Amino acid sequence: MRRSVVLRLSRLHMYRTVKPMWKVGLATGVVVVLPLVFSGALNPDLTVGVLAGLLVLLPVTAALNVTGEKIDGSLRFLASLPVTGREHAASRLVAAATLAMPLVIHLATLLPLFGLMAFAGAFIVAVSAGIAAVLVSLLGVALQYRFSGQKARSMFSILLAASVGVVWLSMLFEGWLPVILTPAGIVTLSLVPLAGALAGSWYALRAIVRLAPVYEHDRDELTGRKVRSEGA
Amino acid sequence: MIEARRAETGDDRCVVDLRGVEFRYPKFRLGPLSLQIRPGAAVALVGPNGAGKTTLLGILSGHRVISAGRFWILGIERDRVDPTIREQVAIVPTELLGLRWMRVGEHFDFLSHFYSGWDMAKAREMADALDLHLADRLRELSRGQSLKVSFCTALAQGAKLLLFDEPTAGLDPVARHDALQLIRSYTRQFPDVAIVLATHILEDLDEIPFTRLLVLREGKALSPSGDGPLVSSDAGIRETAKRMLLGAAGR
Repeated sequence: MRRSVVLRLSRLHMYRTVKPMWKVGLATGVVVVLPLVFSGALNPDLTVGVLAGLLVLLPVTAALNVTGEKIDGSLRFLASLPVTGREHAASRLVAAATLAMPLVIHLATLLPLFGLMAFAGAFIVAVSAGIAAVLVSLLGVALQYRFSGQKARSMFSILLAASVGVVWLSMLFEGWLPVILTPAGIVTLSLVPLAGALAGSWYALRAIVRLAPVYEHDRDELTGRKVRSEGA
Repeated sequence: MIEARRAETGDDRCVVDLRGVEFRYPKFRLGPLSLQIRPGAAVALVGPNGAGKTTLLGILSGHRVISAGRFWILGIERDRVDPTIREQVAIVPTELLGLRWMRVGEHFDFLSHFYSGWDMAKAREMADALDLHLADRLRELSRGQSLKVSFCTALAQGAKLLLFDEPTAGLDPVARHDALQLIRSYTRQFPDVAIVLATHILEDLDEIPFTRLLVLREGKALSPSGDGPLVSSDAGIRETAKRMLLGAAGR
């Protein structure tokens, strides 16, 4: 695997993600943050939460951008380059990890700084959030490659809804802490997300490795269907 | 024994060596095809829409995995999707492949990071000769200018095989004439580069000195396989292709 190729491609993916984000940041600042500041409702919980919500958009947007790349022909151009599937997948991974880094740093520093969590706990939360963001990003990219148009967007929406659902459900476990904090409970709760993350990453990276170097807009690579009007 | 061993290796003198190659979709099958292309050859790949021309170009450019048969490019067997082929093989599709927000100069610079033999001086020199402006954005280019950019990149990457996919489709008569002149001058300027030009416009065949003709219809080759001369001496290449296509259609 050529490191310079991976870095060059990952820079491209990051640039295409970050460039339009200033509009989202500005809009959120005007619509959400300013009213909170002027109403005096801004507290440490909200500050950390709103900023984390903004920062998680970075890796997620990187995955959603693939839809635009399909439309403007970028994916087809990237597939025409002398770049292997592994290099494509590695570049997506590097981009996702880099774009998740602000979220990790934010949670690891602000949670202890605002006294919301001890440093060790904040570190674990930050790293877990980073891994989850990378995983969602890679799965999003893979789904966009794997499925066409609306189907890919539906799958990605289901994935995001499921992630939010898991976070919400985890809050319901507060009363179960005595059970969870047994050795068996801790091991189970650690292994299940880890296994899920590994399986999801394996699926995502494998799909990108296979599909990125052969992508063509006029074919559904998975079913082998062809758009007849485009010729063979 | 010796013959058997020979049959297992590609012909080193050929840029492309296809032997009994097939490619299957659920409702479409290309081949079996056998074809040898030597350096400097100019192959006309002719057939109606849906004949399998683009699929064959996809195989030659390393985008498609063959379902059966054997396939060598530049003496190396390719039995899986192999993007490294694209160092030596350039494809000029109907629409320019590039990031449309980039300028022509940025496009060259971007590509230079992916091709080990990239020659930036050649790319700029060719762009200048073809009256291309490096500051123009790709999305602002006409079809004819896009074709010129593809030429520059093919030259700069040092391609040994140049694949054209319907280069004149949708062009007005003047742009079509210019495009074919450009291809003709390229074949003269770089006699060692083999070209394969896929088209369903038979008039295109008169403009370029093709050395070989491959006619496809519904995935099957109508013209003989191999590496011998395929253009009959008494009829022009266009007439030969027309007769084959009409004959296959029962007219």
